[in-house]
Amino acid sequence: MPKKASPTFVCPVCESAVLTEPARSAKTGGGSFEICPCCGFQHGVDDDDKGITHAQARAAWRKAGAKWTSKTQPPPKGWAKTR
Amino acid sequence: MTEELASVEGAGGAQVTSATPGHDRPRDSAKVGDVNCLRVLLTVMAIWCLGLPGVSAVEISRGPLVQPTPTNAVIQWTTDTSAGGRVYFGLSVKQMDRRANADAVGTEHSVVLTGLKPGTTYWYTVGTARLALATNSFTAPGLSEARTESPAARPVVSAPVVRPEVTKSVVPPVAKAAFDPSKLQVPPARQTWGAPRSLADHFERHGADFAARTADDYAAQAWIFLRRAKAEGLPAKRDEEGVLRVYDPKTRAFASYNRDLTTKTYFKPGRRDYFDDQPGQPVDLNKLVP
Repeated sequence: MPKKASPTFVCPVCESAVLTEPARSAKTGGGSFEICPCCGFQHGVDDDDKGITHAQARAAWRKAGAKWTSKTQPPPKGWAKTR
Repeated sequence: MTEELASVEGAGGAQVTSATPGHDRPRDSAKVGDVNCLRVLLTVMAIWCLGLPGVSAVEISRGPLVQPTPTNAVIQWTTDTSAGGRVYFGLSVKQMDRRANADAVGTEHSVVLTGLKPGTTYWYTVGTARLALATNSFTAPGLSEARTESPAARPVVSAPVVRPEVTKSVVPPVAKAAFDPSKLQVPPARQTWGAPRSLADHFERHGADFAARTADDYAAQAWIFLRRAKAEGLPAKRDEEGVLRVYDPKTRAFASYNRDLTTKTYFKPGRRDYFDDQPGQPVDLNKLVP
């Protein structure tokens, strides 16, 4: 396996590789509680507590302009060009 | 020159007769050794040059996107600079021992994974030959339910896909000891919050649940909550990965902590059964929290 520059996992909602851990644990099934800095979906909370599906969250995020959500974590280089 | 080297290599270092016309004298072993040493040195230098770190700062700008079939999957992603493309994949995050290469160097990458089994979940990492850029998983459709979306895509009222550790919480007797947070010396947020970069986002979402004035105040309350949970014997469970989940049924406060007890999140769920549905086994916080 190649050396990792920094660990990045794909958010299943916005499909951006910006998560620091898998959205859900492959071992326990539990959500990571991480808030995606791109679409703002909090895994393990927006789904498990509020009942929002990934498809619903994705549609809402795109309808709102598919904007980067986090005010403190900047988007990766080149992210804006693909939106 | 190539012809000469080929003849030397084939002889395995023994005295050989050059294949080059006009050179009938056999080469001596010293010259054969020199040539072999040069070949080794050039090979090592080539490998070293290719392996130089920081040669490119490639980043993913889109994707990866997966299009699975029962036996194959197409994975596509875009990078901000031109690069080669490679996918490592396997049955678990720690066992991505198969690989597939993209056909060409560029910014648009497409790789086909073959030999998949229907209904099987695969983990994959996309990147270059020497750099991992993103990791995710997918399930090849087939006999079992496909998982191109995570289990959370289903309505929340349905049971999760694999939760062997889920148990109904058992509320232990509330400890009689009084808890006085004013006597605690709370460490700074950069020490108590698991992912400091994310604290502001969590505070923005959940700070109002606890009337937190600042992100640091919010982080401090989460740290204190764990100590109060220990003192008062609040329900707590820990899963196979060491993630701790704590709940106060009276205030409905919920917090999750990493294995090192740094905070992952702190909020008030709307569902009464939220904590019960979380993975993990009941745990005695007196044995975990100093």
